[in-house]
Amino acid sequence: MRERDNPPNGATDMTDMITEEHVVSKVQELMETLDSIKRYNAFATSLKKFTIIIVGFMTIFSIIVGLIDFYNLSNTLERPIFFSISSLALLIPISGIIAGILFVRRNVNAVKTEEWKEELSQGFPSALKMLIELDWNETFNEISMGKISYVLYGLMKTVAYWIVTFFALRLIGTAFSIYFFQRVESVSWFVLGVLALLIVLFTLGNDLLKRYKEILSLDMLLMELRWFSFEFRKAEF
Amino acid sequence: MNSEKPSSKPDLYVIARIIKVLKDKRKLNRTALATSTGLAYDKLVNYLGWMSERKFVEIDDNGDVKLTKAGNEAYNELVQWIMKYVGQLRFPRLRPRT
Repeated sequence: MRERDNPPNGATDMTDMITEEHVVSKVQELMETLDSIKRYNAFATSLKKFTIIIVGFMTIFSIIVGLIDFYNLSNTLERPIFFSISSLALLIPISGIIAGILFVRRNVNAVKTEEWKEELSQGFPSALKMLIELDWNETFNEISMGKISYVLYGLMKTVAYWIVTFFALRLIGTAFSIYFFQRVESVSWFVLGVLALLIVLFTLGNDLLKRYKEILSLDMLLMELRWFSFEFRKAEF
Repeated sequence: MNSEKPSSKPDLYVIARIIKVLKDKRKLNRTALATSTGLAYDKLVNYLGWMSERKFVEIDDNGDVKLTKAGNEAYNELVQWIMKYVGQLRFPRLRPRT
C-alpha cells in the first residue's frame, strides 16, 4: 500500500460512496434471503406437529369410516341420515388439513425478520461486520433442513388432499349408484384412488410446480453461498 | 499512547468504523473518535497505534486524528475487495408457500 500524506480527495468520494452503497445493498439482499431461509426452516420446526395434526384427524376419520363399513350403515341406515353422517365425517380430515396448514402458516409468519435492518443502516462497516460474523455452517444446515421439510410438507399436504378426495369420490359414487341403481354398488378402490390422484394433481399442479422451482432455487442458493463463504474465508485482505 | 497493539489480524470491522468516522468528520480528537465509533478508549488507542504504523492515520500534537490518503485508499480497497465477492452473488426470489 502506497504511503501518501495528502488528505482524502473529495473528487473520488462519490464513486466510493456508490460502491459502498452497492455492498450495503448486496448485503441487504443476502440478509433478506437469509430471512426467507428462516421461514423455510420454520417448516422443519412445525413438521412434527403438522404430522401429528394430520395423522390424528385422519385416524379419527378412518375409524369412523371403518365403523360405517363394519356395520354396513350404507344399507341399514336411512339414506339421508347415512349421507349426512358420511358428509359430516368428511369434514374431520378437511378440518385437520385446515388446522395443520393454519398451524404451519402461523409459525412461518411468526419468524422474526429484518432484525438486521437497523444495524445495516449504519453503512458499510456494519455490512462488513455482518459478513464476518455470519455462521455459514449453520446457514447451510438451515437451508438443507428447510428444503427437506418443505418437500415433506408439500408431500404430506398432497397425500392429505388425496385421501379427502378419495373418500369424497367414494361418497359421491355411493350416492350416484343409489340414485340410478337404487342399491349400493362398490366402485373399485384402485379406480377411485387413481381418479382422486388425477384430480389432486390437476388442482395442485401449479402449486407443486412452484414448489419444485423453489427447491431448485434453494439448491442454487446453497451452491452460491458455499462458493461465497469459501472464497470469502480464504481471501486475505 | 498504550504500547499494546491489536493482534496480528485486527478486526476489519473496527478499522472500517474508525476510517468511516474519520472520512465523515475529517478530524477528531481521540475521545470524540472513541465516542463516535462506540469503542472503548483503550481499544481505540491500540487500533490507532496499529493504523498509525501503517500511515493510515496521523495524530498531531493536539491529539487530533486525521485520515491520510493511504488510509482512505485502504478503506476503498477494502470496499472493492468485499464488492468483488459479494457482487457476484445472485439471489433467487424465495417465497415459502403454506
